[in-house]
Amino acid sequence: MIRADGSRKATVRQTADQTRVFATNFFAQQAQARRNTWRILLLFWIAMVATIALTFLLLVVYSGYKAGQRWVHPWEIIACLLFTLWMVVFGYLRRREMLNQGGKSVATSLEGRLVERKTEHADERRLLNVVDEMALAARIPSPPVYLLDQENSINAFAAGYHQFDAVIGITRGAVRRLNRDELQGLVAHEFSHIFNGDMRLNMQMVCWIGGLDAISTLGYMMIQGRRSSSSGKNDGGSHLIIGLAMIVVGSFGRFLGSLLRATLSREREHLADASALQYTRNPYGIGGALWKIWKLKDKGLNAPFAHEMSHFFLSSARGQPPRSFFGSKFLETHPSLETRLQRICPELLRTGAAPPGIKPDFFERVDLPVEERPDERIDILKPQTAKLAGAVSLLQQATDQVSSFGTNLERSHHTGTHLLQLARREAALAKSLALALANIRPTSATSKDDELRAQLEAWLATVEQPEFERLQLLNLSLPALRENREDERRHWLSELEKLEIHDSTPDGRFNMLLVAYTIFALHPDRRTPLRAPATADLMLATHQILSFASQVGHESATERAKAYAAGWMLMKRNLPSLSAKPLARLRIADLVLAFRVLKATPPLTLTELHQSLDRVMEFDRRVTGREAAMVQALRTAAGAPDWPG
Amino acid sequence: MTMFFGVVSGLLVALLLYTITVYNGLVRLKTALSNSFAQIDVQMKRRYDLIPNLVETAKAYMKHERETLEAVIAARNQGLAAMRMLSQNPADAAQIGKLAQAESQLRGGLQSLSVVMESYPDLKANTTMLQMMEELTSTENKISFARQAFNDAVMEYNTARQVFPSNIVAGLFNFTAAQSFEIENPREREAVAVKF
Repeated sequence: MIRADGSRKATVRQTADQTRVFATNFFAQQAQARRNTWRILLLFWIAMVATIALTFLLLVVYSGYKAGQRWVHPWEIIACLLFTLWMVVFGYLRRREMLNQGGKSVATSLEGRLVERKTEHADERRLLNVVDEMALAARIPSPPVYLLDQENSINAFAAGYHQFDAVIGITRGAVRRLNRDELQGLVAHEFSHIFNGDMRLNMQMVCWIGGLDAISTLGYMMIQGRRSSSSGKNDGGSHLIIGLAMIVVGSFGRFLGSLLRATLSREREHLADASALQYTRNPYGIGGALWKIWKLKDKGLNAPFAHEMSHFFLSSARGQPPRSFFGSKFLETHPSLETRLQRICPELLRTGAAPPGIKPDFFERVDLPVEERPDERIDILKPQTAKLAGAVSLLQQATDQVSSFGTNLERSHHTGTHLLQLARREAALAKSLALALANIRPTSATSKDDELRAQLEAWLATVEQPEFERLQLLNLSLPALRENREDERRHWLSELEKLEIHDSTPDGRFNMLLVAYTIFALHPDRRTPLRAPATADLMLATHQILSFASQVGHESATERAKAYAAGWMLMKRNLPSLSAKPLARLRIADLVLAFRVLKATPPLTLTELHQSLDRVMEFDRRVTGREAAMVQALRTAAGAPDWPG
Repeated sequence: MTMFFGVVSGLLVALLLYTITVYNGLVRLKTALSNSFAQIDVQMKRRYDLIPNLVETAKAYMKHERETLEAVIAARNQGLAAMRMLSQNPADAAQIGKLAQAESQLRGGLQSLSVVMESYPDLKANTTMLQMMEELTSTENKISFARQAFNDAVMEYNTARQVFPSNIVAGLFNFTAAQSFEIENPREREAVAVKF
């Protein structure tokens, strides 16, 4: 059964008292963590300045010694100071160059896979929903989500230096083993890192610590230099001493910096935990996730880069820290799980305590590899009755909305887009929408399901759609259709191209036009050629378009011929006469080709075509809705305004 | 004397800069506030759009539960209509009342729907249904998270407005206190517990 069952709310109800306590607590915890951050940062800067000052003093003493003076000239002091600063800043910039790659590269270097917005996989769908929910709660834009498919442990990371380029990564283990609440807690924790700019802070510190490397490096170089140029002068010893001293100062500064960085990182983890409580208002969210990691005693991540990136992760990527090793506790980037649980959800630390909703076989299933669950994949190529029912209801709804708004195009566009945002999730839905709108009975591609066809036809029989609105809705569904996967889109296009409509009534012609329009709008190759098309091509295209136009607008053959001739008269000035009769046999493919030619033609050249289209339409002094829709479709295809969406 | 004037004008410039900073901070918080409020609106609309799909799916399986399904749809339509009216005139108290009534009916309808669904194992196993339930749950959560984010934003703004010395700037430029989003009936605060 789905766990998406409001258990979050149930949990909150059960623990209403605790929640009330936390409601005051987490803001205090956050404030505390922020105060500590300032203290640690101050210490960090003191350590940095002290190291730089020590190096500076060493250089001053050294230059004084070399000059053989008892005191040093002021200019030399300034030179030493500048040299030291330059050294550290250079090291800082070099490090920054290496690290400043944005969140996406971190995610891909960890072998993360971007979860597509229109995923059909149940787990991924849930994950994206949870991320959106937490983005709302944290008031930040929803970031791209990467899934670490290879990782069986429960972990997550956030990377990126700005709210707008941040990404969030989650291990498959976390997606599979955490329930909805816990996933919320985990995501909320990472969002706090994004919101509070922890990645930027951490990068700054890493870079400055890297800058101190320059001091040690210079020390090594001095010792090396002494060896290579040991020309017997008696200042060799001073080189050695100064070199060693600089190595010691540099390394000590580095050690101190790393220590403070780790301390700060732990403090920020507490801040993120407290923020996760603020966002979810549910101690069992992040608490449950941490409890599961704690109980599972995960072995650590498999990705090769995980160690260097440990500070990004929810819990230490190295797994549980070894207790025996001295100092490891102080250099850990994450506080111990017990400490964290103590602050967020202390009742989970009691022996035998477990987060609510944990399945009895949770620990037995842990060793099982994370496998695909094919039954949870929703196969979009096999439309189901239920899905179809949804499609029909959506169509009904869309029709209601559009007709209630009348021809107020902008508003209907707005609502339509809104509706289609819902439809976008299901490619099949959008497909049937477009098919139904173009009044096309599903062909071989979708007709496997008889029920689908029957229902669609039933719907089409009841709803008599005015052409203008049909075109409008088709326009609205184009963005959704374009979002389909490349191969699906191609498949669908080839099906559309195979369609043959032999209906020569105006309505049949209009449907052909809509199909051609759809093909043209969706065809992947929509590049504009560099050269304008040849006159002969343009003439043929005009011929095709006018033939269509005269047949969409008029019933009888004589009227069609007259309307066509009237339109053609206007074009005559530019083009040699080809035929005074409209084409009898019209094909969708020819129309698509004509659209392509027109699209590539400079707009000014088309002025006359637009005029002659008007002439064809108004020939019988009666402009029907179908004619108006046709002319708009032709103009859009010819590139007059931009394509919708 | 020139020294004195220099110091005084320097202080004035610093004061001006500080006031500008505080003012901008308050404006930013206030914008965040209205943004958060708009989110609530968006999510509620989204739910109204989802419900018909859900009901249609259920309809295919639940032949005998027409009334329940129709009640849900009716409540949804009422709510949507009230919402449309409200978007034209946000201060319309009668429409707010209607919206609240439709909301509680909808909540009741969805709850009874979930009870009824218990007796339809086919429906419970239907992947589309599961997916829709996930969407609905998520939307319910989004509504409550959007409310919560709005209230957090209100708190942040009100705190910034009250603490010294930014309260002087707030008073000077008439930044009024914001009202948080409270629902009178505590049961309504909870999103629908849709359980299958």
